[in-house]
Amino acid sequence: MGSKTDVWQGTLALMILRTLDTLGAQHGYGIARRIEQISGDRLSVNYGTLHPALLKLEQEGAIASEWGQSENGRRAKFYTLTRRGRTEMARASRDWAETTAIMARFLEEGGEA
Amino acid sequence: MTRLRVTARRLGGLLNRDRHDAELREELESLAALQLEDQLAHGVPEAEARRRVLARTGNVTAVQEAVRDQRGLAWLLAIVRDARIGVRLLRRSPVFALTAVASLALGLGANAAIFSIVDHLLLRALPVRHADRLLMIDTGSLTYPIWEQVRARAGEFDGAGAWANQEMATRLDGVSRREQAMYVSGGLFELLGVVPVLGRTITTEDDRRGGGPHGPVAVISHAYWERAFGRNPNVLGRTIVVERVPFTIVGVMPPSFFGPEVGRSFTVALPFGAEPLIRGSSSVLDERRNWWLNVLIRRRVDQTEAQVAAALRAMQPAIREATRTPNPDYLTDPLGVTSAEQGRSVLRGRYRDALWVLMGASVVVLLVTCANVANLLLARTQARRAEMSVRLAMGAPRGRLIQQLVVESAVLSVIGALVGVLVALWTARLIVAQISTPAAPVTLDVALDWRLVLFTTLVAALVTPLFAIVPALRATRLAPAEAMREQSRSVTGEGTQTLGQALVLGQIAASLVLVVLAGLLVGTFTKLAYRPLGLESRRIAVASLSLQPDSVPEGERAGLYERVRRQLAGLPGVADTTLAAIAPLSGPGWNSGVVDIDGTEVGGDRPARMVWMNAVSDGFFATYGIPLRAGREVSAADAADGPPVMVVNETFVRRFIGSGSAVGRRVRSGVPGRPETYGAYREIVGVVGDALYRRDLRREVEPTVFIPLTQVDGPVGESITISVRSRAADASSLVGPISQAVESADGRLTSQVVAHQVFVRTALTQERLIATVAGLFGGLALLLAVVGLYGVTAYAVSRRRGEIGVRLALGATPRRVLGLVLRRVAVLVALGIVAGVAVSMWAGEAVRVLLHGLEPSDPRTLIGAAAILLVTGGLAGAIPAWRAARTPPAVCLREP
Repeated sequence: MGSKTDVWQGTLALMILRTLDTLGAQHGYGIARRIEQISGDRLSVNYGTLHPALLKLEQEGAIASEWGQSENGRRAKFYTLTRRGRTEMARASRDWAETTAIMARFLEEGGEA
Repeated sequence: MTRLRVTARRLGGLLNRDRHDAELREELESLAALQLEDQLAHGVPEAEARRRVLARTGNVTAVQEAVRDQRGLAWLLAIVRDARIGVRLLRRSPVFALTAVASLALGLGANAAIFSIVDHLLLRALPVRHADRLLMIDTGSLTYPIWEQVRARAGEFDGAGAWANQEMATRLDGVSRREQAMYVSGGLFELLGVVPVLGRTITTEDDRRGGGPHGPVAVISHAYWERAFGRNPNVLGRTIVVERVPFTIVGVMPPSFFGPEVGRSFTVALPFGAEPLIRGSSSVLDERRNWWLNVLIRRRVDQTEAQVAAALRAMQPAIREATRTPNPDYLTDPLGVTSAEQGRSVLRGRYRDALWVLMGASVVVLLVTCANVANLLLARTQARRAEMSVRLAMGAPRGRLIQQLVVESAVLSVIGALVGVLVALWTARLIVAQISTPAAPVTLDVALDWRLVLFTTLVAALVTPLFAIVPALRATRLAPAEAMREQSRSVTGEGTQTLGQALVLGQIAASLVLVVLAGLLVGTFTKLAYRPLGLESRRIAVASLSLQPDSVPEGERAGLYERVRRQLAGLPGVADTTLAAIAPLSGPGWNSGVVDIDGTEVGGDRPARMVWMNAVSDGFFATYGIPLRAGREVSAADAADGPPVMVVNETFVRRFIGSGSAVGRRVRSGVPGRPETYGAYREIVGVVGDALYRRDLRREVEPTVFIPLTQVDGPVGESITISVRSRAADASSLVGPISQAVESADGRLTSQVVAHQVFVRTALTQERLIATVAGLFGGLALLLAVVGLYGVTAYAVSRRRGEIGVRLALGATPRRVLGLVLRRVAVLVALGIVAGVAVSMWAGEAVRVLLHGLEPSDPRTLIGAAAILLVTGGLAGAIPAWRAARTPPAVCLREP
């Protein structure tokens, strides 16, 4: 996977939820591409990481999956956000924002010293 | 909440693994195609596009595995995998597997067997409704008049009911059998909440004297319905003849209901009101001195047990007044109640101590089993050190290895428990068969039920860590380098063996305790079985005869009995015959009190004046082989109108007369202090040797009086026993001919013929049972300990082969080598014996109640048990030692 950073497990779930929230129903490739693009290609997402995370979210009831047709007529499995997933996303986003804000302060302080 | 949902989904994910894998593969393939099209559309060259697809997808199998871990429960999968490996490994070493599984199965099985009996007799509640509100009048059996009084006042409670067990002759389709029957009060089944599977129960209407509006009715048990009617649904309305009275079957009880007495079942239940039909003029329904039935009370929801007892005591004076008898002590003891939740059981009282002791013994067997399996595992993990060290060296986490070893042990437990349940069923049935006697058949529904399986599983789960964890820790503890080094030959230390030796020491001690227990119980049994009875039981067969009610006029009965007796006397092989009201040791008793002798009050309280009574014909003492000490026997010349006479035993003379001559003294008996009960003076005409009267072999012979059968007050009764003395040393071959002769003698007779030894065996049922089971346990523990000792010694020897080889090569004699090994065995065995003796002496008090004629610390038993362990232990240790000493040194040295 070269120089690109592997995604951390904890953050991947939130990234998936946000992707589905923004784009609506998506298949695995779409989700992976989107996450890589948003990260400015600094992250690489392979299916060995993505699919266990998708399955975990599905087991938790945050997303649902269904087979359907892609825009160019291919059969693929599409993932959609559920209501539970939306709530979960809101909660996780808030937590994460708070964490980063706190971390940012520490990093600023460290910079000043 | 989410956790629960996830776990549920993951458990679901364990199923349909192949379908899930296929779907994932399909998804990945479609994603790969999508990506390729997308890349090509963006002008990426095909080779580069394919490389990128590959980079994202990676190895499909790897993705599948990653997803699988998330889909199912990874740890569960790991355990399943370990268990599979465990089974495979066990199949590769069948001897180890067999020994370990057999040990566990026997240990767990012994426990589960005792548990299932304790469960049925002591723990389980009656399978009836509101069992928690059932109370029983615990003052012993009651008379029917008392029950009628209680019934009249049953409104103070949530109902009351009565029952009495009785063996009765039934006739169905021309086949006669003796069955366990029971009289019940109308509404008893409703009180118990027993719902019939067919028809109805016995109602208050049915329970009228002489039969209710539907005539004499009966209900039958489910087991009898199966046995006699093949579950025929048309059984209702059929007729069953009980003691020659036809009853209409109106109901079949559910299979879960065996009757209100645990351990006893009934086949036919009749209303008390039908009793006069069966017994005719000798009905005991109005008999105020015949204590034969039990009373159950269901308390109201708002009533406590104490309130019920208080209500009973409040009504007691009225009951007493209404049913007065001449006895001044009649019904003076306050009536009380006890919880009947678990049903009444004579068995429970009789076997409680024994069962608890056996339960304790079975726990010790289980511990010995665990020690044994732990030792086997220890030896096995030692052998697998190389494997473990390599795996540790290659980076396997220690926890993972321990998990695998423990799971392997759990596999052993599971198999052991499965086989153990079967062992338990078999053993429990064996034990029930041992308790059951022809005179008192015992029915315990020992079946494969969830309680038994649950118990076995729990115990197995409880003991697995006991034997699994320490060996697993041991095997994975050592540093890899050290283990590798140990592979090479060297004179090794003995430290690693300490644990194994400690286990063996414990095993020896525990099995000594069990052998001592077995020794004490077997000793008690033998002491009782061979105690002098004062009569020659083996030579005697007893026919108990009863007449059909009112079938033979009173005046003709004596003649009929005498005629049957003469017929039996004419059978080949018969030496003597006698008639007796009660056959010694057969169970029933008849007692009286001595008032005065030649006008001199004998003094003392009532128990001190108590004597056992029997009425016998001529030939009684010759038949039973009871020696005449002075005077004469009861003879045919002692007529009803002749002078009243009696024969007494030597204990009677010692207790009441002392040194002087007894013959010619005149004795008056009755209830001391109540002159209206006093009989006429009887003259002692003979003194005979002491012989046991009651069916309790633990008792000494008590004062006994024999009066001529002809001189019994009142009309001749409807039942009698004829005892037959065989010319041969064993009377059992006479049982058949006697039965036939009695059967053909008179159609109005029903009879039961047994060898007198049956009474003795019945009296020893409990002792035989616990001696047998304790013997089995002792033997089992001994076997396990010997296997353990053999294993440890053999292992020690195999590890010291190099050293032994060097010693032999340097000129040590085989004897010295033998001594070297044996010394350690001897120390181990000796320490184990010392510990075992100490524990035995400490624990012995717990079994004192079960012993007879032996102290818990009986030195002969202790020494005997120690000797058994010394010899067997010595042999178990000597065989590997001897083999080591015989090995040519070159062989030892050449081996790695």
